[in-house]
Amino acid sequence: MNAREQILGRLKAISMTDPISTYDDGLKHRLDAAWDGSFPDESRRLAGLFADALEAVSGEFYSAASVEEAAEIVGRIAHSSDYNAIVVDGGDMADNIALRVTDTLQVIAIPEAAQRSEVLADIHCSMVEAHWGVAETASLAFPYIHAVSTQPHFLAETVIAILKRDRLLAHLGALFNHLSPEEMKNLVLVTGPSRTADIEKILILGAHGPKRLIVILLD
Amino acid sequence: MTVSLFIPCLTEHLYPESGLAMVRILKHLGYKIDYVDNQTCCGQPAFNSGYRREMIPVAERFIRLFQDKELIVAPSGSCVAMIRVFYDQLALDPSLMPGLKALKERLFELTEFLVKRNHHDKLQGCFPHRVTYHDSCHLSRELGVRQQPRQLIQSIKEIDFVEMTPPDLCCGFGGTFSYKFSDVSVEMVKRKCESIEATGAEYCIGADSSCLMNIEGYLRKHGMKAKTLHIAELLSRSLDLEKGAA
Amino acid sequence: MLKPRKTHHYIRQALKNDCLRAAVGKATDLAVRKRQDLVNETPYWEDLRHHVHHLKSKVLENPEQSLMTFEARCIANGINVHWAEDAAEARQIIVDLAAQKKVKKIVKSKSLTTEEIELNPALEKAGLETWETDLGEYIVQLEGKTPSHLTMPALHLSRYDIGRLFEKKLGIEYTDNPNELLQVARQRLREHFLSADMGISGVNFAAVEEGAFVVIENEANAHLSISIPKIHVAIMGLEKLIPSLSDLPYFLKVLAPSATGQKASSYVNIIGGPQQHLMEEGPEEVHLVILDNGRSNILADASLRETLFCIRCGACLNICPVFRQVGGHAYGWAYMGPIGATLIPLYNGLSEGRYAPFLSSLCGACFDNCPMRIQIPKHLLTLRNRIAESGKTMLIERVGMKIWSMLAVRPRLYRFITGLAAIVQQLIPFDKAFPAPGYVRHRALGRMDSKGFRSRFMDSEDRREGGR
Repeated sequence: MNAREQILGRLKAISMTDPISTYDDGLKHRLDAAWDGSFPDESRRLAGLFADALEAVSGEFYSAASVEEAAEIVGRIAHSSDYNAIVVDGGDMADNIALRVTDTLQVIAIPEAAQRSEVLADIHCSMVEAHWGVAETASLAFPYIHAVSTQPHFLAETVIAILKRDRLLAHLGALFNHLSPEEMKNLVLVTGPSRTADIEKILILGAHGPKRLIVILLD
Repeated sequence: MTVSLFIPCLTEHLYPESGLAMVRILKHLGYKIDYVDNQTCCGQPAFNSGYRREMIPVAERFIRLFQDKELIVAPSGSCVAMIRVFYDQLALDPSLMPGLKALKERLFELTEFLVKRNHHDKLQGCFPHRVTYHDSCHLSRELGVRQQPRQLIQSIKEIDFVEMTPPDLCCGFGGTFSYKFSDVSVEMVKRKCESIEATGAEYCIGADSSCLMNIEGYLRKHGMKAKTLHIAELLSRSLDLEKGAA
Repeated sequence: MLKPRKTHHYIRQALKNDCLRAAVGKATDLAVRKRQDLVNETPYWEDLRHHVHHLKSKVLENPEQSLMTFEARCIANGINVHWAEDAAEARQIIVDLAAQKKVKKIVKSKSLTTEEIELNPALEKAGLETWETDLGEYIVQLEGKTPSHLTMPALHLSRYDIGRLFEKKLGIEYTDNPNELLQVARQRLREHFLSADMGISGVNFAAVEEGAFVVIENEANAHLSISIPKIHVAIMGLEKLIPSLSDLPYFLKVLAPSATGQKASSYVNIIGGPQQHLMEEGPEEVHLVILDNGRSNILADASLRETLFCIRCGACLNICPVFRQVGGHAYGWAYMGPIGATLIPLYNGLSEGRYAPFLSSLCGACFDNCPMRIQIPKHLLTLRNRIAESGKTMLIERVGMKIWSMLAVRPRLYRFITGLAAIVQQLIPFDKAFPAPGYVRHRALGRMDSKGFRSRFMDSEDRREGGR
């Protein structure tokens, strides 16, 4: 096919000697400083910002001082929604918590690839471990390089995400500074439960993905 | 100091009173007035309709006529924006560039000029009516003049100033847009007039005769209560300058 | 397909539809308010706008080099890259690919580029079962129409319309409860996600440095249509490049507030190749179609190049007082509103697109709201100029402008003619003397002054008096 050559040939002929916009080189620096400067350094306060941002997108926030406390929260959530099984994505912390809820919940590991979607589509609750969290937007980053599957994040009705406190960053810019090229290249950023406002701008949670996103911030 | 008048077409042909009011205000402030005779048009209607070839000679003529004036004031944000902002988009005779640059530095819209020179202290007349203010698009967005007219209005004694929401919504005139897509334009001015009426104002103040013509046309045809008033006339009336002169 | 002759017809239809206009007004007001709140809490917003504009300029400064690097990095990541000169080629690439892979069912996530190339009819013609999965797009697909807003496809339909549509097309019992309607769509589409052989998406950003592309969404439908089917096809206009993923945060920071008034979109999917080696899931094959369809010519056009910086957020539509009255279908094409008014003649030609740039009062609100700092009013003026100079405007207007130009440099003659016009207007009932019946139908016309400012001023000066 020669569309490629034709297109690139035309683009090559474009003389771009004149800069499209005049740009002040100090601007990026100023911008980064202003963005950084609008956040506190202290992790306690970042957690507060994260909680506010999460609640603003209809997510639910818990903080837990220990794995035991987190397990108790997970048990409570499952109980109140009548869930009797939970899919766990295999992160260290998530697994640790899962070990402590086995008496009330059936813990299911990520199914084999072949029947994964079908099995997961019938499970109501999942527990996943976020790699990074962003206080500014309450976003959670899941680089695929550290994941077994992303489907539990999307097919379950309720997603419980575990975020370690030392994994909480101030803002989106900081997140991308912390991600390696391999991490950022295959990644999903999740902010709140899935949503739509396509009918008369009325916000409804749980469009095609989860209806509830619960984040447990773990010390 | 002498101020040269730049009189936009609509002021010349339809609303001379707002131009005369501007003259009275400037005289009241002690300026000498110079009328640049033989001025015609800045070319905006043709430019906005795409006819640059036709309007370039008109623009060049305008620059030649005004480039040596020490101070130029116009009762219109739109026409000032045409010269200060849009002339740069034209392929004008390069020898006129220094003249254009000089002209741009010395050309002001009336309210911008009055506030820049701190004249609002001397313009505290009295106007015991409820008014609202319409931000014309080019004045507010291209020239960034939003605060100045409000400052002038609020300096007037006994005036009851109420903002409409939103004050900077386009009135729907847009020059030839108003007849090319007249149905759309009418719906836009309708919305504007409803927001004026909602303030209960007796007068809608503006700084561009084109918007005021459009708004007035709708208000009048539909028997709405509010009247339009150019800010120059508001200031002149509030200071009773007409009577003093008559 | 753009039908310029129908422009006025579409506008009249829209203006007659009070429900539509109320819905557009309500939705756009909400979007504007939410955006403004977020902008207000971002003191460095203007710097952000400058910066993203700069990033886009930088990557498109040498588009050939950027695209070649991007292509090479994509290939290294295992992405199959295809190039399409125009809409027909792009459609053919996708149809052929589907045939070759024996695809039966396709799930699509929202993509304006597929609207631009009119992909769905081609897929259906090829016998491929195709489902739009974004709720708004799904509704519009059932309706058999096209989206009426860049980010709110079903803006033109009320919940009652949608209820009747679902009743008719899906055979369910009538309901106008939005949540119930969503549940129906969710259930139907879940089945399609799980059984589709191919997923198709658009591309929000394509990172040159990493050879990866970004798909942003709120519903999770894009993620599901990327991660479940075995084959994923993404289509992007060649202008979607950004220098690197490390620049993405700046774009994310402006996009969500401008598009939907959110601080962040629910899901940002970054795809840098088939993910099988990472997770035993996701597509086995990723195909990326790079579309020109006129873009290289726009890039070559120094004065209008900037229109390609558009990130399709819809902020210019939401603030536009004209869009509010006429809605998206009046523009007659995939891209609408102020940015659409520039893109329509650029992509379809000056003759086909001869009305669009004039469908604006040039109020400038679009530029203020554009996160990419695209000077839309300036570009509309440039296009108006090109349309006028290529003789695509009305003859009477062209002649009129010639006469005006001749008079406006001859002040005495100009004064004589305008003076005459004033007299004529006094003699004839003035509302009828103006050659624009539409203008005066709902507006009284201003009356020309019998003397004009100049004479009145001179008289008063002669009498050494101010005033009348």
